[in-house]
Amino acid sequence: MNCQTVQNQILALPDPRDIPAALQQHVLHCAACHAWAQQAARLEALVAQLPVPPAPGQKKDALLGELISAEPLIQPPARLTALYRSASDSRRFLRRNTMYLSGLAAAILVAVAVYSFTPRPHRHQHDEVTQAEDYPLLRKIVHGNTALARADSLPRKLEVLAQMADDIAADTRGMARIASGDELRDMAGWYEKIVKDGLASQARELRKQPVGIPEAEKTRLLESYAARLQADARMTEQLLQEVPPESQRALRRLLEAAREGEKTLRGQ
Amino acid sequence: MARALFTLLILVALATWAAGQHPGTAAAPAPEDQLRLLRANRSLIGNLVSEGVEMANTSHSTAARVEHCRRASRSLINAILQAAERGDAERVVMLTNLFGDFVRDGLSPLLEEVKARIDPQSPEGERLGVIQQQARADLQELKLTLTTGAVRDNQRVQESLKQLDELTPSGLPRPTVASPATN
Ligand SMILES: [Zn+2]
Repeated sequence: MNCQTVQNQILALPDPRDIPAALQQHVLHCAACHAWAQQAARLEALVAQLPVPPAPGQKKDALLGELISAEPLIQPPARLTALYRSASDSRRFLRRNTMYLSGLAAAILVAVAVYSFTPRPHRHQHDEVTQAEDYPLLRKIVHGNTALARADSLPRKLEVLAQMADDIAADTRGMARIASGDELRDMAGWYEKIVKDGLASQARELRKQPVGIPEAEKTRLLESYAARLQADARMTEQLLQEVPPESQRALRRLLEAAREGEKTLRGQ
Repeated sequence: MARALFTLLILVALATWAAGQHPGTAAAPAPEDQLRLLRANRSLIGNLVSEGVEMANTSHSTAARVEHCRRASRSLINAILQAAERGDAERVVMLTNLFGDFVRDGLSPLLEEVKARIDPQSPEGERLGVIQQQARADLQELKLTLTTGAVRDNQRVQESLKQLDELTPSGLPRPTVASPATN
């Protein structure tokens, strides 16, 4: 039994909090399916909390039809279907899945509809408060991850990683006098990870890449990022004398990572 | 006439300059806010940095890249669920908006790209199927929590929930390539 089969069967259970013996063997020994079973159980518990008022039957059917025709929540892969010997078996499997999931979808639809039509008092302070929750560094890191998800070339990866490293270095310096040594050490650790495991490792890849990018262009690219790391190192070094010893240790870690990265990028 | 025109130009220039002084987005938070936000987001950023680096170290259009991308989205969801449990609606809204952007511009198109490139029957295709299923379940869990949890009565939470629905007609990552094989 492969993981996808197991996970589909867990979804098809009347109550995924109760895993039958046939599946338990796999679930107990497979981290992915174990996590999946736990998530299915959480979903089940959440569904149980949904208030589901009796909805007009036709309206609900229409909503459901829309949802299902737009996209079935779970599309069993072709391989999975083949595992079911007869056509009626696979239809039954599909029907069981669809019924369970459309029930869940219906519950969400109804609940969301109920909540969106229930009048409730307006709150005016939200805008200010949300702005107070906005953390520019987090936003930048999420955007960096979005760009990395789609990055289709080494130069693009380098560009995004270098920007993330710059953002973290700038914030670390900005926090050097107020954050604790522990917190700064975390920030320096993020920087180190991006420079050492990301930037430097991608730079090595770029150098190895035989075609596509001319050597001169490679050198120019790597040199520009090396210069940025050098600037990070210099600015961090200037700050060292002005912060408490505990913070100095964290900043030194960032400084070392910047210098090491610079060397790697320059091929030294 | 020329003088009036000149005055007008100066006024326009001044107005433009003044507008530039107060951009729509807020300036950097005050130091004490920075510190509070760093503490609140420390472990989330750590996870995102790790998954981001992993994504950089995978090839384009592979299930491995999608896997790390989904893990990054999961770490955002975990942070949202924790904030929801505490009833911290404003943090829920902020994170849900970031999550929505990440799924719309990152995870969802990545899934489509990869799915278009690999054979669904290959081991990699199967792995991708599992990841996609997890991504959908993640989204369901998030939506159910925002619908039933401690922050369900907050209007802005409900607005960000609607925004999640707008990701696709069914509120889930868009379907990728239609499954071809029916044998
Ligand atoms: Zn498994």
